[in-house]
Amino acid sequence: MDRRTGSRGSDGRGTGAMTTRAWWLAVGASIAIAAPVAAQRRGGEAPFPHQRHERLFPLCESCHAGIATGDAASSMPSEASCRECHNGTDARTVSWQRPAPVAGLLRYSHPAHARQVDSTGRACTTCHGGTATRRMDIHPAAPEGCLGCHTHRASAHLGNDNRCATCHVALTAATGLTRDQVAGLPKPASHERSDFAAAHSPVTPVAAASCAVCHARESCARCHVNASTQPIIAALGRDDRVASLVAGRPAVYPIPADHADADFAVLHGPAARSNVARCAACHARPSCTSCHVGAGASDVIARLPMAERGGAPGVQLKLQPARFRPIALAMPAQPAQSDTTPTAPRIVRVHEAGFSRTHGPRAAASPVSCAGCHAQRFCSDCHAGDNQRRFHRANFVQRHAADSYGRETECASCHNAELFCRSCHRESGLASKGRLDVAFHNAQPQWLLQHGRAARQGLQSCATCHAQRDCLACHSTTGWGVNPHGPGFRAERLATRNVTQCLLCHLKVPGAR
Amino acid sequence: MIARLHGFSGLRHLATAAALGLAWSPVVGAQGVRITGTSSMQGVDLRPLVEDSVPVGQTTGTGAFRTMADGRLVRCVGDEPYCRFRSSGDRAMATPVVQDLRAVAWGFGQGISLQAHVRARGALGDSPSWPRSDDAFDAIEAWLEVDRGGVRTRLGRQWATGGLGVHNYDGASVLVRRGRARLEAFGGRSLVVGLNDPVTGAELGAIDDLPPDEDGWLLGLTAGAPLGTRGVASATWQRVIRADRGALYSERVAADASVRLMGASIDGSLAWDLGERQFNDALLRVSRPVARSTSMSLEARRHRPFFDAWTIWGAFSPVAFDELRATVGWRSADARWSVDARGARREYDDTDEGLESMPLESGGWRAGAGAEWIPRDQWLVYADYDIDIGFGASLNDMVAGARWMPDESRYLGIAASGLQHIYEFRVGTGRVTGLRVEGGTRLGTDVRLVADGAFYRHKLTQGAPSPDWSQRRFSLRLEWTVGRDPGAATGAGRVP
Repeated sequence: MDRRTGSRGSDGRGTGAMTTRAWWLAVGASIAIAAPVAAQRRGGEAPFPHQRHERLFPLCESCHAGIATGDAASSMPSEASCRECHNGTDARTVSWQRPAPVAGLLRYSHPAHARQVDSTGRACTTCHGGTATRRMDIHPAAPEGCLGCHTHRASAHLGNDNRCATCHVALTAATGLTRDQVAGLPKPASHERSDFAAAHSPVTPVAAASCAVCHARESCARCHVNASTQPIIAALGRDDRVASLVAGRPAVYPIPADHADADFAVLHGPAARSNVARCAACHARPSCTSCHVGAGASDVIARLPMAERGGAPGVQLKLQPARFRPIALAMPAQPAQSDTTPTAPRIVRVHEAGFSRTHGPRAAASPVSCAGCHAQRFCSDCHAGDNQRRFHRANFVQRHAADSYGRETECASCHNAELFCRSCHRESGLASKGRLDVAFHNAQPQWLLQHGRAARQGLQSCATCHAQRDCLACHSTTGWGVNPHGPGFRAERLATRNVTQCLLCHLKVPGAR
Repeated sequence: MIARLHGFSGLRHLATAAALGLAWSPVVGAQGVRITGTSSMQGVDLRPLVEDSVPVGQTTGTGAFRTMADGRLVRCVGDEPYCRFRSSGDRAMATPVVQDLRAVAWGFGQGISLQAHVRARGALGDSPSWPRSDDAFDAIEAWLEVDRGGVRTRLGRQWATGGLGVHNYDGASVLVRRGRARLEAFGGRSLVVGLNDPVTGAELGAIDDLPPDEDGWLLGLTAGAPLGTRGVASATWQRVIRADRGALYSERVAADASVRLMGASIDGSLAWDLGERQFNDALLRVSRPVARSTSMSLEARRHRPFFDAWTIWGAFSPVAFDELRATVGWRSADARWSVDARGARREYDDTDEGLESMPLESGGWRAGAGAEWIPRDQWLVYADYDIDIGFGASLNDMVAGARWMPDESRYLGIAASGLQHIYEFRVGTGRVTGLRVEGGTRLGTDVRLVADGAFYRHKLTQGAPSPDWSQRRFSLRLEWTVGRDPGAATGAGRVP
């Protein structure tokens, strides 16, 4: 052995037996800058006891001459070099075999960096430590050392907006990492943000390359139902280690900010129509067809993927039973609080409270929107009247009078007042029997003088007990001739529409055909 | 039990029709048939008012209205020795039974489908009559549809739906769609809204002493178009004329629009009676989230009742009222709490009737609040309170209850209610308290049974005549589905 260079030797106590792993770690001390596996060992001494050999090897190049030149054969010492000292006489023998290069995560060229020696000439120790007094206090290079030159936008290793691909290769190319090593890759702080999962799509090739350092196609396909058709996902490539790691882990579907709007469930149509691809990231067709049974949105739904067997399930939306939410339909979504912890479904109200009362104008203006989720039979469920018991509250028959007078809802939308109301009032003994009767209208003695005003204010309610003939008894030429018309009444309009109606009061005997 | 059914010949027709339909569909090659049935039965204690009398000597007071010893009001006419009054008669339980059948069949050819909704009614035993229980059979809808290339044609009994509400008719409709725009023309024999019978039908004749003597024919047009990307609008014109073209039963137009603007939903509607040349309805509603968990709406409306021109009611110059309403709702971030409050004020137009010395309420107001709480995923606790003070009828009303749903197939609920009638024209002031239990279970994927029972106690606090609403109630409802919609996994659990 060349003692001047002293690059190969032994600690003389037989403790430096190099194994394949030791060799890899020794190499890693140089090449695993920022590599997570090495990062875990940061601050520790490399297995090879460099300091014990400090006096034997004045220069790093004594053993690692090829690193600076790119010559793999001379990057690490050979076993013969060790035996020059570890020959059993000068020092105990050691076993050593130069390992084959391992494909790690690092994208790093020692020859290129070797040309950038600092002013002190400490080419290796710039990154790997070493001081004037302890020249071979070697440790793995720290990623922060890279940032000193490769500043770009990085505030720290694993910081936001890092361009990971500057120093790292894609995970699929790092075939030397084991499954456990992949599992141990550190998670950047940005990934812990609450809104990260909802808005993590890389928008530039540089960002996509950063994702590829730790992720493979299976990482995305765990949740994204359209993974197989997205170029940015397909570009990641497949990886068995990642597939093994995500197998069995539930898909996570956070709720984007716009989805949290109170009326998103109703108004998402235009957004979906204009950007189906965005929906397809999380939604397969069953997400939509849990509500959309009508034809109104079928063209958009058809552009969504179907969930593939063994692939992402897509957001599982399910209607809440109406009886549990008496006011409106509800729809749960699956939130993301962590990858594994199941959380309670988020209830999303499809229609605002009281929509059953207020839906008229919207339904009339845009029946196409209604048809997205409802078949027309849904309308007749209520509007057909007498076999729908969900619309009114349970004791409605006892409280309906106030709602009827105030027209809280239009009774005639679902009931025929002539028949439905009066027949019930008749059976109850409440309806008029054609003559002045006992003590109704709270027995107000002057009711006869008040009834005209009451009738003009609530004629629909009057008609639920009184037949037309009740009024004609007084308000007709064959009765008492009392004029029921108000000051704004235009007889000619009525006559133009239906003169028969006039004749009922003015010429003919009431009831005569 | 079948033997005790009366008025139920319709059910036999119904069963026959359903069986024929099922047998017939495969024959003509339908790809699919979906039939939904709803069988419901109610039991309601009734004590209808019956006429009674009391000797004049057992009443106090003078004049036409006097009082009995127990405070009830009676009417004494002239020199009659007896005064009349009405009181609740014997208790009897009404047991209406309703059977609904819906059938949809499709796949006869491109875009061709059949739809029908029929209903049979009856009652068990010799129970008191229930509204329409003597109308044994009712065809609510039944149409053939051909939907191809943006044109949809329907033929049969169907509904015109739009800004004028729903109007059923026997006839045809053609709907043309171009993008989000649409134009529909429809026409046929007009049916009475909510009755599914022509105006000359026996059902109307049995209850109305002056029904029209000629059928009506309906003509209508509806057009709708988007308002840019933020809204949509539609207009409807509808006319019903006598079959002999000798008169007009009604002619109205409506316009509706819904727009999203600056985060708000703005809905507006107008209904105009061309015959009376007056608005029946004018409404503007603005609703908007005011914070992440809070939403608010304001609504202004004007309402004037509409009457078909075959009645005399329109000649009595009914007046309109204006109403302003506000609602505010809040939901917690985890959706376990929700609270809403509402209030409204309405004012009637001048009636030019009555005496200043005998004023009548010319307006009214209402207010209310409700809350829902989901302490656990299986539980819902709710409470509502409403007060409505106004013309005609006023009340205080509150209800509180809880529902438990251990899984998606079962639920159980209980609710207590209290109702105070403050003032009414027709029935007396009183209080009603009640307790109700309800439950439901899914017996199979497409079969569900729902039942409820309630007890109400009614206490009159004034002597005006009113039926005693102290009563027991129950209902049973069996819902089932055979077949499925195109592309649907099952027929159950979906928005119909």
